[in-house]
Formats: sequence, structure tokens, C-alpha cells
Amino acid sequence: MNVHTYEKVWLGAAMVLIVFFIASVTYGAIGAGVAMVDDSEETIDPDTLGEDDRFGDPRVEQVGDDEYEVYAVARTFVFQPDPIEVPEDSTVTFYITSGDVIHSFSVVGTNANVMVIPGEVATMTVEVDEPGEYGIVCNEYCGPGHHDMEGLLVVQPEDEFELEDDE
Amino acid sequence: MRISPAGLLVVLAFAVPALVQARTVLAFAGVHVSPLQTVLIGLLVLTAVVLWAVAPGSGTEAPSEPNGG
Amino acid sequence: MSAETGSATGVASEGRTYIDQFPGEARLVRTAFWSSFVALGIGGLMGLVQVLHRADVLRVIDSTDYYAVLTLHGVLLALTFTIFFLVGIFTWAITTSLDRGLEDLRFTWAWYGLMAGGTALAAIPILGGLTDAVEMSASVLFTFYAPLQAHPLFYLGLALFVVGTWLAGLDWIRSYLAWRRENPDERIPLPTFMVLTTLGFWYLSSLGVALAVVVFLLPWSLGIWEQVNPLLTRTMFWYFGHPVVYFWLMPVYMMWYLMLPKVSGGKLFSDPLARVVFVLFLVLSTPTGIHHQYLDPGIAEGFKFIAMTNTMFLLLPSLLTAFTVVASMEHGARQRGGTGTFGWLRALPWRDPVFTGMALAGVMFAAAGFSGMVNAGMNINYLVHNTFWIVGHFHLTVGTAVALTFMAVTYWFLPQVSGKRLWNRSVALAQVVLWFVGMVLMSNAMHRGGLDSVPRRTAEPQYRGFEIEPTLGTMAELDAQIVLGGTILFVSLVLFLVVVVMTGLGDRVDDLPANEYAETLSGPEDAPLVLDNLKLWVGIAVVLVVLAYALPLAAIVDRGGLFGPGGSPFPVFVGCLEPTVSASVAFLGDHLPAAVSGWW
Repeated sequence: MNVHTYEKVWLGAAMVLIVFFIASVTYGAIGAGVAMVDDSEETIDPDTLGEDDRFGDPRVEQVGDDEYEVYAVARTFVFQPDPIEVPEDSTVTFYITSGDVIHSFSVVGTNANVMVIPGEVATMTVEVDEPGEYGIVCNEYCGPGHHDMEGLLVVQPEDEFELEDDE
Repeated sequence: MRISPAGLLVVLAFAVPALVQARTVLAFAGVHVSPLQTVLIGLLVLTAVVLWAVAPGSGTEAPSEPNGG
Repeated sequence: MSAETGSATGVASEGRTYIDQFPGEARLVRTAFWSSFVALGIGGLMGLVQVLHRADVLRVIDSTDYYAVLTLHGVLLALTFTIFFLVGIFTWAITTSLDRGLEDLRFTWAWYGLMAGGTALAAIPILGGLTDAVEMSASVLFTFYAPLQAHPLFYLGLALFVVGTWLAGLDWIRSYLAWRRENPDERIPLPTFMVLTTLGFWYLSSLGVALAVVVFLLPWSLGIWEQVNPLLTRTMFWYFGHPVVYFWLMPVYMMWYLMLPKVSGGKLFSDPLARVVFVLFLVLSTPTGIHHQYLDPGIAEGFKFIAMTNTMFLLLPSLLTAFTVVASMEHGARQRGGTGTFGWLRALPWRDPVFTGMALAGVMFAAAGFSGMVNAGMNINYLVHNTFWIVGHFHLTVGTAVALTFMAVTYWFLPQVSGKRLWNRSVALAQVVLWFVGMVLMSNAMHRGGLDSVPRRTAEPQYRGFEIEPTLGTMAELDAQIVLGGTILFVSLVLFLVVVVMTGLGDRVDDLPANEYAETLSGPEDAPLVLDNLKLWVGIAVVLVVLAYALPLAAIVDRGGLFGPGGSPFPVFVGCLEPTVSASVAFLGDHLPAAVSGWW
């Protein structure tokens, strides 16, 4: 096969570019620790979330020093709990599922962004630093009121943070 | 004319992404150009291109077009 | 094409136009084009409605109706406009390059009828979503993710449409086999090769969506299944949803390889490399769909990684195409007397809307390639997934690389298939340039908005509890840029429709250029024979698909079951937010009219 020299050079450069991309993504996943949402959680019945230990009562729980877990539910057209309150400089693991259709849970201005699929529990762990209020949007179309679906993530200064009493 | 009218049209078209993206890129470098300024600079640039194109100059005419449909 | 053409792949039509050569086929191609233009017109109008609505400049519909408009926009433009145009181009490519008519035009009209009928059936419930007078709707968008549930007619229409494309493919394969019997030792002509390789991955991938619709979604919408597994049907959608973008793109690449060199005044750089590119698309298009699901729970990281790797390698054929296109254009420019390192650019036929439209579409596709690389990077994807960035990206790909190329080549094809002169070349030129300018403005703002988390697919990206603050400028400014761009695009679209309608109203003339496509500098005799071994490539494609999909699908079914855990269906129609309403729908045994009237 007759391949022009310029074309060979171009082909080589293209391959280098592709390998570089794959390497950089691999580094991001392994080196920088950007873990992907995966299948580590068991499936769950979206019609009976009310009876579930974690999602029957959507809430924030402290599980260690500066470590919190959030059990959140997305439904047409709300997020629960709302607002989600966590202290600054903490590690927060979100467990999110849907009570009806496919939603997303996306914290505005950050890469904390995950699909919420009925039957599946999405998990992601986020390092929370700056205090402030962050919007949460559903960026997957979920029905006629989709544009009304929003929530708030409130990162509070450490001295003001107080977990709501569990009964 | 230094370039054909069609050539001028395409040059003007290419100036639009150049201007729009230049503003975005400058913002990365901390130089903020407002939309109004961008529009004014854009009009200046486009006018300059048109003046350059229609000015009688030594530029060669673009080759003639085939009668494509 | 005859045996002695050697490196000259171009076709001698003895100076005749396509309608003179194949009047019956020309009628089919013309009809397919008109179907495509009708979809383009309606879909484009919906686009303008959305742009004005989102920015809150003009809201002619309720926000709850926005999603019916969006469904219409997505389905009509992404499926109807593109695929009707494709069947026109592919019919032209097969008949022209094999130099023989289709075997039986009755069969040809049958598949056209199936596609048109399917589109009409799917459109009824979508339009029903816009009015309260009709009790049916299908506001499920182009992706129809369960448990959002459309009226059964939507799924039925979709299935018929896909079957129509399968029969169209059989029609072309039949032509090829008939040609092969008469020419056992010839190389497959390049345009036919492009059609066959494209069909290879189209059959492979559309099988996924057909199964999702026929086995799961259609029976579910009729009440036969109580629930489906949303992750499974979603994965089956994306199994088709990524290859379908290459289905739109392959006729565009065909045009860039066959027509762009010709209208530039030169020859295609390399026939063998063109074949390599199409083989790569056949092999790699399908095992990549999971890259649309990087953010999905329930799919292991390893499977996402495999999809990411395949996707990155899919950059290769596009990068090779970028080289060939520019090299062929430069060759053409130098044939026309162009000189200098960049001076040859001036010698290109910018006056010709066919050339200028395709060249501008190519430039925009390069930009789209870069945003696509960002999307493919699975960790950067977290930042942009489902944001306005994605909308900006695919308005550069399908919205410009595909749509603008289709519009540009229409200015060449329409005279060929109608025998009428293009109505006005200057208006046509202005049209393609306006599309380019409008899309630059709109997609730039969409990309920027997406980086700041502005979501896609929403009627009102304005929130009560917080405000999205762009890194650069203000939301008002981004909105203004999008409205300006969208309006320019709509003006361009109207100009396009004016040109094609006025051309159609013209009289037959007999001095049109002949039906020809580009010759090659390096012809098929330079291409190894193995490239034409389509069975081998289809085999490899199947193996790669099995490797990429068998385990993820098995895992999804193993975890949730074939039919769950999906939860109750969620019929989408205006005014009802009650997810359990579907309990009242017809079950198996009820006849359809009852199902329709009982359907909410």
C-alpha cells in the first residue's frame, strides 16, 4: 500500500495523541484518584424506598472525624433532603437513588455530577472545603416539571455546623 | 478588489469565530473584554478587512470560478 | 465504472445528469430529500422556539410543553432529517458507482414508505403532547429513557422506521451482489465500499435499539410488561446511540471524500486511505456507546475504561480524514493555479456554495473534535456531562458538520436529481456562510455555559434558590449570544428552504454538469485486497462488540433482572404528575382504540 510520507507523519502524530489521551485519563483515574461511579452498590426497589434503612429517611450522617455520609433521594421534582448541610473541610460520601424516573444530581460549578437511575444507588465521595451555598440541579430530563427541580448543598463553617437530631 | 467578493465574505465569516474565541481566550489570561467592547472592536476589524479588500492594490485577482451548479 | 479505469476512480456518465441516467431512482432520491427538508424546516423552527424560550426572551408555549417541542426537534433533526438525506445519498452512490439501477423499484418505494409511515406514526403522539385536545403524548425526548413512557405509537413508529432503513440496506446490497456476479474480479468502487461498510455497523448497532423497543418498551407501553430495567434499556439505547452519530457522519465523509476534491478542482488524495477510514469506522463505531454512561451507577469502572479506549482510537479515522480533506483541497487549489504555503487557499472556489459550505462544515467539525475529546475523557466528563457543553458539541457535529454539508451538497444534488438549475447561487452562498456564523455564536456560548454547569434539556435554566454564575461574562450575555446565533441559524434555514423550493419550481434544463465524483491520485490498485474483505471486518466488529458489551449487559441483567428493578412507568403528558396513572391502561387483549382513548 502506497502511503504518502506526510500521511505517515500525520498518522504517527495522531497515534501519539491518542495514546497520550488514554494515558492522561488513566493517570487521572489512578494517579489523581478521580474514581468513576461504579457498580459497588446493590440494586434497590424504587417503589419501596420508604421502607429502606438508608433512603426511607433521607439524611446526613456523621461516620467519622470529618467524615459524613449523605443518603439522598431524587424524585419528580425534588431532592431530599433539601438543603443538604455539611461542614467545611470534610469528606462527604453521597448515596443517591431515585424514587421514580432517571434524574441527575449535579452540584453547580463543580464536577460532583452523577446520574440517578431508579433501581441503582449512585455513590460519590467529595472533598468539601469552602463554606458556601451550592445549587444542585437535575440535568437529566425527568418530566414536565423538570426545570423546577433544584436543591441546595450548604457547606457550613465548622463552628456553626450542627447535625440535626436523629430520633 | 484585492480578493473576490466571495473570498471577502468568507474572510469576514472567519473573523467572527476569531473575535468570539479571542475574547474567551483573553479571559483565561485575565484580560476581560466586555461584550460591547468586543462588538466595537469586531466592527473595526471587519471594516478594516472590507477597506483592505476594496482598496485598489497590487493584489492579484482570484482565479475565475468554474460554472459549478 | 469499467475495468480499465485504473487509478481514475471517477465515473464517466457521458456528460449526463443523474436524472437522465436513472430517472426512476432520481425520483426516489428527490422524494427522500424532500422528506428530509420538511423535517429540517419543522425541526429548525422548534429550535428557534427553544432558544427564545430558554433565554426567556419570548415564551410562546408553556414550559411544560417545552419538552414536546424538544422531542420534536431532536427526533426530526437527528433521525428524520439525517437519515432520509442519507438514503438519498446512498442510493445515488450505489447506482452511480456501480453504474446500474436498483433491482426493483417497487421494493425501493416499499422501504421508503415504511420509513415515512414510521416517522408519521411517531410524530402523532409527539405532536399530541402539544395539545390538550389529543389524549396522547410522547415527550420522552430523542433518548426515550424508561421509566418515562411514551404512547405505544411512538415506539411502533420508531421500530418501523428502523426496519425501513434495514430494507433500504438490503436493496443496496442486492444491487452490489448483482453487480458482483457480473464483475467477479473488480475492486468494489469506493462509493459502494463506503455504503457497505456503513451498513455493516448500522445493522450491528440498530439491532440494539430495535430489541430495546420491540422486546421491552413497546410491550411495556401496551401494559404487557409491568416494568422494565431502566439501566438495561438505557444501555441498549446507547449501544445504538453512539454508532448512529457515525451513521449521520458517514454520508458526510463520503461527500468530503468524493465531492469536496471534485468541487475544489482536484482529485482525492488516496483511495486506499479512504477505505482504511471506513473500515475503522465499521470496526470501532459500536463498542463505544458506554462512554455516554460514564456517570451511570451500576456499570463497573472497567467497562467504562474499555469504552473510553475504543472511543479514543475512533479519533484516528477522523484525524486521517482531516488530513485527506485538506490535502485534497490543496491539490485542487494548486490545480487551479494556487501557490504559496497558504496562498493556495485563495485559489479555492469560494464562490461555489457547494464548496464553501462543505469547507466551513469541515472547519467546524475540527472544533467539534476537540470538544469531543474532552467528552471522551472519562474523568473530565464529570464536569461537562449533561450540561449545555454537550449541546454545543453536537450542534457542531450533527448540527454543522452533518447539516451544513447536507445543505451544501443539496446545491449540487438537487439539479442532478431534478434536472433543474439551482435557483440562486449567491443566496445559497450567503446561506451556508450565515449557518457558520450563527453556529459559531451559539455553540461558543453553549460550551461556556456548560463549563459553568448550565444544564441541557431544560425549559428554564433559571433557579429560585441560587444563581449560576458564569466564569466569563454574565448569564444574560450568554443568553443574548445564543439568541443571536439561533436567530441567524433560523434565517439561514429559511434561505435554504427558499432556494430548494424555488429550484423545485424551476423548469427542466439540459445544460447541467454531468453526474460525476472525484477521481483519485492513488487509486484502488494501491489498496490491499484484504480491505475489500467485508466479511472479515464485520467479523472483527462483532468480536469487539461482544468484548465490549457482553459482560456489562450480563452484569446489568444479573444485578437488576431483565425487567427490573424499574419501578412504575411514568407516562409523560402535560398536566399529570401522577406516576401511577398507567395502572388504568389497556392490557393485552384490549384492542388498540381502547388503548389510545384510555391512554394518558
